Amino acid sequence: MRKRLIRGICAAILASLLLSHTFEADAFSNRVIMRGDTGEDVVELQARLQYISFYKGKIDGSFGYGTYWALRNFQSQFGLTVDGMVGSTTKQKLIKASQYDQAFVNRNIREGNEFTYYGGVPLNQQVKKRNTQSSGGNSGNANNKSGGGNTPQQGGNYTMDNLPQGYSKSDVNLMANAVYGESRGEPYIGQVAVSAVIINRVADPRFPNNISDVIFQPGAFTAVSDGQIWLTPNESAKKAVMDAINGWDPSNGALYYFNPDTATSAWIWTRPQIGKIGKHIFCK
Amino acid sequence: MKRRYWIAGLSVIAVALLIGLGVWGYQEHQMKKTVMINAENHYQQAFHELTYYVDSLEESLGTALAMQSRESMRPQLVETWRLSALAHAAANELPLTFLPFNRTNEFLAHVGEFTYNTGVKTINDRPLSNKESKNLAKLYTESMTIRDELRDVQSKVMSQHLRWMDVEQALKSKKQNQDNQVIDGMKRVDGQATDYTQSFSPENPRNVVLEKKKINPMKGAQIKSSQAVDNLKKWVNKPHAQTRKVTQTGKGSNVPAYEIAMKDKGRSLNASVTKKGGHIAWFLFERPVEKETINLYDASKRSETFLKQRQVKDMILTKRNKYNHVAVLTYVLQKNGVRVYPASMRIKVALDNGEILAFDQTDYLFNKYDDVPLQPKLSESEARKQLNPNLKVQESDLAVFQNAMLKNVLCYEFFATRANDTYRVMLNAENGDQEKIELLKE
Repeated sequence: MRKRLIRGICAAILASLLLSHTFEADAFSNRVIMRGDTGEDVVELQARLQYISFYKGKIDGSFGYGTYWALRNFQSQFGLTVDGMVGSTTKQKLIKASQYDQAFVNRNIREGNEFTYYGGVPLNQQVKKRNTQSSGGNSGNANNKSGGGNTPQQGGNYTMDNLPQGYSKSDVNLMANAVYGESRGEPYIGQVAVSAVIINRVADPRFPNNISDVIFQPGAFTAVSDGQIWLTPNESAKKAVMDAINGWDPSNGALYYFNPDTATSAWIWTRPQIGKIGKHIFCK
Repeated sequence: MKRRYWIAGLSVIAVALLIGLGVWGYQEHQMKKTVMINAENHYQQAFHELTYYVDSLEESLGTALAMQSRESMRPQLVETWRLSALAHAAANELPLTFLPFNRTNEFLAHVGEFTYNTGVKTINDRPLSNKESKNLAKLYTESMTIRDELRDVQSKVMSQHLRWMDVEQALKSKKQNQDNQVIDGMKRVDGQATDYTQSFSPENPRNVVLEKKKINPMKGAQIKSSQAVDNLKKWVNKPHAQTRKVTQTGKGSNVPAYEIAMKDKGRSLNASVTKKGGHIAWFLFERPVEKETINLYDASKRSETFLKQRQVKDMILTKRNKYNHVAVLTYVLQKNGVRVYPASMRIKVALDNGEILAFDQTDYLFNKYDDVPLQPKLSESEARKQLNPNLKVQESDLAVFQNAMLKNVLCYEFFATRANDTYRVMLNAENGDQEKIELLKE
């Protein structure tokens, strides 16, 4: 009787161990994770690396340089190929070396708490609850978005924070406003070209060297002069701006553009022209 | 009797209305006047500031000319640098974008760049080279001309009570050629400076696409527009796309090209194909992407296949950006183990099905980079000595990098960390100069 009980308990423990083990192995999706990635897999990667004290940064689901070096150090110490990518071998090693309390991590990310996940430290000592009173002003936080989107593959939670070096979110918003005000009736490619002109001006020494000064330079853009810049931009304008700051320049290096039907300055006609997109002529 | 009351009543109301209207109109007028004066004062301030700074600039350049060693000259050069930045800021507050005021700004940019490179950036203490002194003298002469012209405009503005708001109105109205002293004065400043900008050679402007001299000559034969269309269809693998429009770039374009617009299954595709050689400089094939089913690694595999199929070799992935369900991957050329950053291309991949949405190789095609020796003079350990000891180097390699003066230089590229921050440090592989240090945001 007693023997059976012990055996039963043993079996139960074994089963639960096995279960939890397979559950853990399933936690990572079977895809390779690399720097620049965002999402659930990255959260787990960061948490696991933090558990074994390789990663000291924030667990935010965004695979940046901090995570990258942590991973490389892990790989080199565990005798793996140091490539900064998480393939199946690295995953197995990582799963063996660390633990991952998915519920704990996800809850804290969802609630926007400040937390860490070091192994050997009681979990309740690693959380600093976010002040709920200030949550209203903080709605830009990616983790606050509705929909409780913490299911895997919902990478949408982490977008837009991943901007190219040198641009802030407000730069992008301001540009989207200007582009929408200037060219909302234009084809998409024309909107990208208008965004590119703003960027070309920032790069050119004859113009101011930052986005907002270029946009608000007196007389530079009609949308600024007549207040249309304060219309709410649509998705297309925002996309056009992102394409332009990522390097696409349909204007081919233009610094000016004008609408030939409404252009008021004779001088603008003397500029060497590059091409016409939609209603705008682009020139140097 | 009754009618008379009526008339009296009505006229009282009419008079009251008239008075009301008058008061309201007067208030509006006053308000408009205040706003106008405010705007005018702002412009006036900017203009007088500009003349003041150009004035001081001239003095400062003149003083620097008289100094011998770089160490003694340095504070003066730094001061000049500061003044040029202030003058530039003031100039950019004037309503002159559509005026040929460019040259003054260009002059200020030259001064800024020259003083930065000779006074702020260099680390050795040799006296100015012959060429540098010549450039300094040239800038000085130029500053005198510009100062005189600006002073001239300034005195006219003062004596004749000219208003910048009128300039703005004149620029906005179609009657551009009416007599406007301010505009005329500015045009004169511009005309005189033209001569100088062409003879001056510092590395300017900053954007390669803007400067012809820095552009790689295209290889290959001249092609016809029909062939450009064929090339494009092949490149994007859309044999059945319908061509909507083919135009040629105008004389402002540095590399003559065909601009092609196509439609494929209701989606529009835009691209630019060079006339010489028929290279696809870029294309954009836009569509909304609503969800993510593949990740960055899959996307990078797709783009590698894309490059492979088009016989683009020796490219390595250096930058990945992910936003709004698309990934933008930047590849650079790797030549003998050296990363050639000026030769880069970008690929945009939709993360719902892995389609290549856009491609851009303007930098790869147009940037000139083949004049850089790929052998470093300094050893890596010697270069490392220049690094801050608090930095922990995580990764290092050799790279060709286009510095702020638009010069391609061979550098040691160090990725180093300090606490949770990651830096990229570019050290010149010839003399150890720090070409660039960058705090990498995640």
